[in-house]
Amino acid sequence: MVKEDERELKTVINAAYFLVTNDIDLVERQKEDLRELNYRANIKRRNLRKSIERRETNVETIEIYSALEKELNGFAKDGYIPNDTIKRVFELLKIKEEEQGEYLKQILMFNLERFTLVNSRAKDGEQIIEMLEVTSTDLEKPEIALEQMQPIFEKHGYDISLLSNELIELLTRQGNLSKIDSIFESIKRNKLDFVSNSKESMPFLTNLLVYSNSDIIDEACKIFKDAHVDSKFIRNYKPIFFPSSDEVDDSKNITRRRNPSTIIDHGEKVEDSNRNKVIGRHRDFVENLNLLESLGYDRKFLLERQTAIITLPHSTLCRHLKELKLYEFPVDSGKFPLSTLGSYRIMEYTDAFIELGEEQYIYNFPSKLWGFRDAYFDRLYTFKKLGIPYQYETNGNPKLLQSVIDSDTSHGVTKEKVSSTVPRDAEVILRGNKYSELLDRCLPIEISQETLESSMVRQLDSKYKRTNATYDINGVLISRRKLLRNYEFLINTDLISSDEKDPEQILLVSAISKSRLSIAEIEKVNNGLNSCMVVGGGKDGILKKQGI
Amino acid sequence: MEFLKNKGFSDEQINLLLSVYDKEIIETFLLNKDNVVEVIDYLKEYGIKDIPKLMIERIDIFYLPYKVIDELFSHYEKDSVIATLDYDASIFDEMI
Repeated sequence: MVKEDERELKTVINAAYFLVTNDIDLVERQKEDLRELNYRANIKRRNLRKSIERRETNVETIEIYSALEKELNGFAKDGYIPNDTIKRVFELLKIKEEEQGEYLKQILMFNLERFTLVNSRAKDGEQIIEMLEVTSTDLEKPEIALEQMQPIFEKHGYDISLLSNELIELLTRQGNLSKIDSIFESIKRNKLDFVSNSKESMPFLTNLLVYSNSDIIDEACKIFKDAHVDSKFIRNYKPIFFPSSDEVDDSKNITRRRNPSTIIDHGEKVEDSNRNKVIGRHRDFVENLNLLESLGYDRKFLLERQTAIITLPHSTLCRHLKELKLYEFPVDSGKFPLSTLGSYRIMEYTDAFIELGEEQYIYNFPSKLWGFRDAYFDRLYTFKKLGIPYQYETNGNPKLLQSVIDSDTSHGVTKEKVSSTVPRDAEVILRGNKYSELLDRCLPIEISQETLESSMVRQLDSKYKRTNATYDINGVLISRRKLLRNYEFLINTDLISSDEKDPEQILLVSAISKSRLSIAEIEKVNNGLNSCMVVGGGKDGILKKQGI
Repeated sequence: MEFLKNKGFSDEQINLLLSVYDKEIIETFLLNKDNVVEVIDYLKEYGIKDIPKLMIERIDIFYLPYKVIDELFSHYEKDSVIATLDYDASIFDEMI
């Protein structure tokens, strides 16, 4: 197998591994993640098939990808990684025996968690236990007896009998006596009084004892102390007491590049997939604080007021910052509403505001990107289209009337009215379009200098640029940055081979993607864009297919 | 999310909350559910009428200790806080 392919396969395997460990019941968004993963495998397979046709690779590789897809589906269905799957994957990837240990350790940790969590409700518990026995042979970690832990609990004023069976299982299998003692010391030293001797505290305490260490607890608490932040705030920062997914836990000589495990709420059924787990965000928290401080925000303010933001994964925060900077929001002013950083649809929603003619509004009130939703845009579109007042002025700035978005019926604008007013022509036209499908799955965020200086963009800018954010193409507002970042991505992506790319179609798709446009408006945009292409019109593209 | 149902949230409101926010936000929100419950109780007591709507628009409020929220609110007239937050939660940016 080609080295690069092998690497990628391993990455996909790991991705699947992380994916299924996230939750027990795959929630809708995770199903999407899985579909995304499978989609990528499909794309890869399609590309491989093409390169096979060109005799650039061998048939064996494509078979591996097909088999891998099946395995991924298997993971999602079963929710854990069965032993025969592990063997098949090892064979498939030709992973040498000496390399298998590390994978086995990871899979074991995963299966342990699965076991711990589902033990209380799984009907196939025996099967899981059997699987654990098979995969655990490599670790050789002795269990700690409950009797050994009891004196340590007592010494620190905790009652071990408050632990549920599931928590005891976790602790005896994965705990370490000296570490448990040092963590208790750290809890006491740092006065973490929310980790009390109560049933309610036991899940969190157990996870601390298993997955954290005293250094992390001490460091986290020191940050609050140094910033003179009252300890009452610490309670809402539970994830920072656990290593981030990229931190290495050396305490058991296991490289654990993953989040810590699941906790079980004592006395409650495990009903929803998100509630019962601890997410490790220690390093994320430290890096987020440093980063935001470097942008001019006060550390004390961050710790006291921005819990939701500074406990985001650092990579997410960085990405959101990058998106905001791309759209020229003054995020490094030290005064920007940081709640905006919590929105995961920054670019999409900014584009939507811009295309509805509300550029000034969203730049004045960027925190509206947080907690907004698609339905609001549809209502806003309808209000505008029907000429119903939708804004008022505050301090000279237009603001949206809440009645636009608050109710499903205000001003007689019912859901049915919205549905019959908002055009879905762009959506219909782009359904099944290969470029549009790619944009749905990838989120382009780059606009290079090269693109900005290209003759086509210069022409677009000179003809249609109204502001840095908006193109006015024959009376239709298009988010300039949306068009440019989509275009740059589609033109440069290797997910579609160069000879299959149609620049004119790419440009049109880039412009109308996720827009609320009618056929007539799309045609206006198409005509406007064609006049900027070096080679003429896009009539052979998607519009022709629609009979336009 | 059972605890939100116990606080009067409907399935529809909970689903909306889950759809509006990224799972990373929801994960840490759920880890702080003790605090969330305290804040809900505080806001109810304070007089905020539509707590699900407030949560859907500004989940970050529910990450704060209720005593901090109380301190933030104390700089304004109670009626105006209630009216303003019920009307447009983005006003919270000006409070912090």
